[in-house]
Amino acid sequence: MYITDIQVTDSVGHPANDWNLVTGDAESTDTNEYIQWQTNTGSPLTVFADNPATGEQYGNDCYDTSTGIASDANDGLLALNDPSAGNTTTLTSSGWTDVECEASQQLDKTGTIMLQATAPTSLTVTMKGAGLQAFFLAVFL
Amino acid sequence: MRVGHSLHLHPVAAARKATRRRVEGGNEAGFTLIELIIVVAIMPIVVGGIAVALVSVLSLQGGVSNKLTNSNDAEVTSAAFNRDVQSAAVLTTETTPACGTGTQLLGLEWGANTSSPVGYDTVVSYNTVLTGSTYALVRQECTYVSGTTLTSPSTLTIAHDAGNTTQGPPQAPTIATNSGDVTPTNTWIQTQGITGVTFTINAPGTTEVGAPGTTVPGSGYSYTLVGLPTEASSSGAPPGQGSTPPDYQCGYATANALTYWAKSLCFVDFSFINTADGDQLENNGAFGTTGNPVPPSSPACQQVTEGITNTPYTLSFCISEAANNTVSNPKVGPVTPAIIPTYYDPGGDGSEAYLGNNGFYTGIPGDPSLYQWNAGLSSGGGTCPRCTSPTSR
Repeated sequence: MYITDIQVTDSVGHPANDWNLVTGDAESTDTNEYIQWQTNTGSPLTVFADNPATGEQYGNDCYDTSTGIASDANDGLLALNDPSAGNTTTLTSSGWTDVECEASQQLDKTGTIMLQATAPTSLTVTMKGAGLQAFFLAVFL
Repeated sequence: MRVGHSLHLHPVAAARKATRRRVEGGNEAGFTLIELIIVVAIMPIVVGGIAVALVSVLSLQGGVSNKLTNSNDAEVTSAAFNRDVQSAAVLTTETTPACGTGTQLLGLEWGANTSSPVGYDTVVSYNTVLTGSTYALVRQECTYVSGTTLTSPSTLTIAHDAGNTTQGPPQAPTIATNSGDVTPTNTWIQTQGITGVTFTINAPGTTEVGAPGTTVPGSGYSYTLVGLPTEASSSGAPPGQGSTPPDYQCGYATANALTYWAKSLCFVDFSFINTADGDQLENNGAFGTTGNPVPPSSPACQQVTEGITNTPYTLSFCISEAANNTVSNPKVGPVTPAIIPTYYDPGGDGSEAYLGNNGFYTGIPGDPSLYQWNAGLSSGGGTCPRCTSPTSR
């Protein structure tokens, strides 16, 4: 899905400041599934925590034991800044404009991945479902 | 004749005469019975009068004292209340305090900060606290420190005498918009579009409390506070009343303990995609040499404008989907607007969608997701960067 020319404007059409676009998994990412989000340069993606009060980021939503890539036992979100080079790591800080969530966890989900970017102008979402995948889009003021 | 005359003397005159005799002649015989009777009869009247006067004065003092206290309360409340309401970005009338203890009548938050566990730097609750038989209205403020920590509430009692157990506690404020009053008792709402927050404080009058005859002095002092959020005055047109009202509005989830961003996270309603008439947002998007999708060139996308509910702001974007059957993306599945949760598993094996189930962002209106139609297909183009093929994973 391509989402381009993204803007937030006030009642007279002036661009608004300090808003974030939030997107994420609206279904569940199970075995053999993934979702990838890509934003324009200058609007990197960061985790929009499921439960900030408890420190929970996204549970086991992106937990993939088959990749062989070291990741937290529960938070296995993978970030990519150069897919052609296969550059992957666990998302730990800002600066990534290309983020992928994969999973081999089929049952007992403990969270969902939600990402935010400050005032992006474009977002591309790629969904691969062994079953079905879904995503959402939201504005955080 | 002297004796007879003496016998017929008027009692008062006789008393005067006896007194004169004592003064003039050094008579030490004491008071007459008549004098004593007169004194005994008059004294209670005099003492009773004095007592009534004293009670009245003391009672008046209590009332005046309460009036002065409440007048001062009104002044303090007015300053704090106006400042808070002007600053607020979101508010609620949920009874569970966002900050502090007691029963919340009004919750206010401002200073958006996604690092804060509540989404804002400052949280202010106007809570009622019952002490003995009297309700006080207190202002409690918590501010974000770091991580998931907010400061302990700082408390300012702004109305010492806001109600009692006989007359009842103070009530939540009235929250007005151009389209009528709103009662956000189960959620937080943006302050844009709110035209007034009116707090009415009715200090009770002298009231019988507890055992019959036991009264508590009260002033009966009442005052009304009206606050106007700054966001409302600076926002221009109220929600949905811009020059060209959007056809669709994004929506908020139902706020609860699991939904920390419900008051600020407005989900796009994808209902504008009419799949019934074949509108699947498909186009001929191309792909770059690295396998990444490249946004299609204009005008091959659908322009969307959605109002951000309870704010004067509008979100706009252009959306499209990659085409079927290209070399780089051989299996693209169409998507359809769908409700959240997209998948609910009553069997309870935990395979259901997390979003929209079990209290996590439930109650989002409209169709806030785009859902694949066909299992196993890729929507949006591109290949999995670390997959040998889209179907091998």
